[in-house]
Amino acid sequence: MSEKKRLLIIGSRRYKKKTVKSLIAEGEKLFDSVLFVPVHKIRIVEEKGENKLFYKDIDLLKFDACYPRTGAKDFFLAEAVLKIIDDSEMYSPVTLESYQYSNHKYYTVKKLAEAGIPTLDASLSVSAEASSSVIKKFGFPVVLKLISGFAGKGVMLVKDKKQLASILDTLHLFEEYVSAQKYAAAGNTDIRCYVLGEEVIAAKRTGAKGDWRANMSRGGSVKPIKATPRMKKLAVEAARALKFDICAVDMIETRKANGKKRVAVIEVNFQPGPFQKFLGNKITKAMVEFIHEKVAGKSEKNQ
Amino acid sequence: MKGMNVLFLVLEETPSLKHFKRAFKEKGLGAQILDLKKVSLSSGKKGTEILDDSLDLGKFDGVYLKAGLKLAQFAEPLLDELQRRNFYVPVKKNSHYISTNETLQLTTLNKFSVKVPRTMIFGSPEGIKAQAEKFSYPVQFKAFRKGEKTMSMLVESERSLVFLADSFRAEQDAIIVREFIEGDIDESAIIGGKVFTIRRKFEKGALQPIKKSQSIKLPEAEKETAIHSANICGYDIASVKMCKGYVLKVKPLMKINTFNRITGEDLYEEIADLYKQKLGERKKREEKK
Repeated sequence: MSEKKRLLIIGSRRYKKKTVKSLIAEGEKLFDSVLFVPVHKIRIVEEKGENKLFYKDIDLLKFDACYPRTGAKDFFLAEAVLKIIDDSEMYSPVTLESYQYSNHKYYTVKKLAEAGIPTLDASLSVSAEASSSVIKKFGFPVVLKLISGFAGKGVMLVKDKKQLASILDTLHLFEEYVSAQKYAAAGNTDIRCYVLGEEVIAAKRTGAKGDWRANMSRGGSVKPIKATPRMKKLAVEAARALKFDICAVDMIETRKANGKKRVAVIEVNFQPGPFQKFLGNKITKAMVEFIHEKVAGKSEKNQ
Repeated sequence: MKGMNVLFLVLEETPSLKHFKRAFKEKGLGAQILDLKKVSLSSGKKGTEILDDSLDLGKFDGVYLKAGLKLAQFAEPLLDELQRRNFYVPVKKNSHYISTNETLQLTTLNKFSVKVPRTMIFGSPEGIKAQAEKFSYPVQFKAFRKGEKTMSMLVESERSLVFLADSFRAEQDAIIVREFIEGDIDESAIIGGKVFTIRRKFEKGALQPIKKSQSIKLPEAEKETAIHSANICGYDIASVKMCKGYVLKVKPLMKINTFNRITGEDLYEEIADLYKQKLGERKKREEKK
């Protein structure tokens, strides 16, 4: 008789009900039980060399698998929770390291570049003068990103030197760190590759009319596409470089001066939205299936 | 040891830098100071560059980073790069993340069986009420919002803790409730394998001001705990606060002049010695290759 398997899903403080509902529904098809807990409802108990996680009186480390989907704003508690999950025997498709890298726009590019993955040149500085001198090397237009910015709200397109000076002065006044990134004209579309281990599911995103980004939080549309072998390879390598089993790797397609297409990774997402409006439950189903396979594989090995 | 150079990356030029320069010179080490505000990190096709127009990184063997914990978001990728390039830096990657987040530091220390006071961490005040009876009082209550500590107080009883939890209205990142260990506070400066300790007496319910601290020698076991705690948090040079053998906090070493005055030692020299030793070991390793 097979062992009973339990799945834990940890959500952000401001989780999307629709996404969670879908993950739970898919989870219940494969796991014997599924529990969802928003991160702020978790209690950490630290005593005599043992770190434990509880929700009410439920010991959360007794689950077989955990899918943490915490956001940038949860970092203070999420870092400790993820550290405990990393150290536990529970399977998780994300790690503390992946959370720290993917919530830091520049650090993400640094790690991708080190792994030889094509990305867009990016910089990080603590003063306006230093930012300004690097950005001039990139040339205009340039994209400025706030370090802890998420959902595209902290992203600005700067067209020239004059605009740059006034923006940098304001940001440093508020002690914000700025990561600057080379702008590549790709229209307001990008390709999102959901990575599940070695498997990739791709979709093309088109931003809302008038928005220069392909960010869905402000409207736009999503259409499933077949990822090219190159896209698949880059997406899987990017996920590995940032210590993910499950994530979404966003990339853009641009044209080189010789007319050839070039793909560059622009972002890696820790808790990617599944775009249910356009893709139905395809992504949440794939996520849960992947986690279940990992857990089933683990118990087979132990037998 | 001729030709060994250390780059001091600092956010502001403080008087302590001239003491460092003097101590490093006495040990035969070169020291150059660079304003961190002039530095940028840049990554892309060419890998990662540490940019400053006047900087020739190739002539340095070690780096002393004094960035302050508020610069964690800059310091972490910088430390990652310095480590990748094999510079000796007494502050390792992740140390800023661990030191800026008390929940992560406590979790990390406890995981490595460092003796820390019994602690519970909550994401919201609602959960506290149900656990209030499980503590030995008094407890230390700390609340954090947007990464900053918004409240820290001693709570004497279960009733007071429940009252405090009920009175919270604003959303918090986390609340730490930790059993309070009453006693003298021993603050140790860890420099490699050496430990220099000053004690602040706990008298009549309050801690003496730091200027009245006394130099003491920690028992061997506590010395080892202090060094181990610093290393776990990613530091060769750090300050470790302890009370009755319990580790309360690990942070970068800041109050060097206070330690020097109270212990009669020269910690600038001790730090220069550590660099000399580490850079020497590094050179030997490279020669073997």
